[in-house]
Amino acid sequence: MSYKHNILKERFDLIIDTPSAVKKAEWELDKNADKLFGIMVTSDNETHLYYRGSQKIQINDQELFPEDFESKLLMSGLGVAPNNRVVRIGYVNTGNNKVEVWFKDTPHPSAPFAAYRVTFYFFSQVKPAYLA
Amino acid sequence: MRKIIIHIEEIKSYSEKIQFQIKLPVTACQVTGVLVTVNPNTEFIRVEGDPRIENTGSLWLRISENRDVFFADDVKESNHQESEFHNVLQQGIASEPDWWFSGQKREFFSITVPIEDAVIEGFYIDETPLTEVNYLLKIYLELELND
Repeated sequence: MSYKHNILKERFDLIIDTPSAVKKAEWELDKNADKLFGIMVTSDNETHLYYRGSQKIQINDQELFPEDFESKLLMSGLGVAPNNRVVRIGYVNTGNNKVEVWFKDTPHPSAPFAAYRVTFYFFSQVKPAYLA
Repeated sequence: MRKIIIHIEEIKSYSEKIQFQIKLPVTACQVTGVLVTVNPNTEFIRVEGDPRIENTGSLWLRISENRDVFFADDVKESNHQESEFHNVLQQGIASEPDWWFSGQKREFFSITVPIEDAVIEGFYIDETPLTEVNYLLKIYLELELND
């Protein structure tokens, strides 16, 4: 977690070691996270994530991205300016701070399976001090 | 409230023409974004230099109640090596062939389409220069819902 300019940046990893499977993960955002506004997905094997990955993401039981939402739509390369890399989702109340991810690996002819890591970054606004 | 729905069609034959309906949540009041991707089940092998190399097909979306086409576009294969996802004008790091270096962020095509009926009609024509066709067409719709 990093904390600068009232923005929390949190990282969570998921290891995909079984082909053609759905892996569920549940994480808790920092207790000071108030509104989630951005998500980004990276991997140690970008090609695999690009071609094979899709996921459903929920926060506080509210669906942000539905099942089968491709990971490549949440990725940005270094060619994108750092401040523009995050996928903005508006300002979503973090509620109970519980983030759930169902990551699905799907076979693709351009990327034969090998285990890979998927990293999710969540960017949220900090609760105002007078409310904390 | 914002919601994304995904409609998936499987295209299995050359020059296939399909018509389909996308059911929206009853509380949907407008479509605010459209994004289309193509996901091959078998590898696309294309002839180098073929002018049709990038196009996979053409898609139309319309509101059935007033027969108004609000989205029409060429659909391209989502290949990480294609120029669509690279900033080809820049030199240096952005001209690296790896997607990790130069891949661009995909964004919804921004649109404002008020919805009264809960159904959108779609029409798609396959235009791949291939004889063996097997891919998934995914249509993402970003919706605004009434609370």
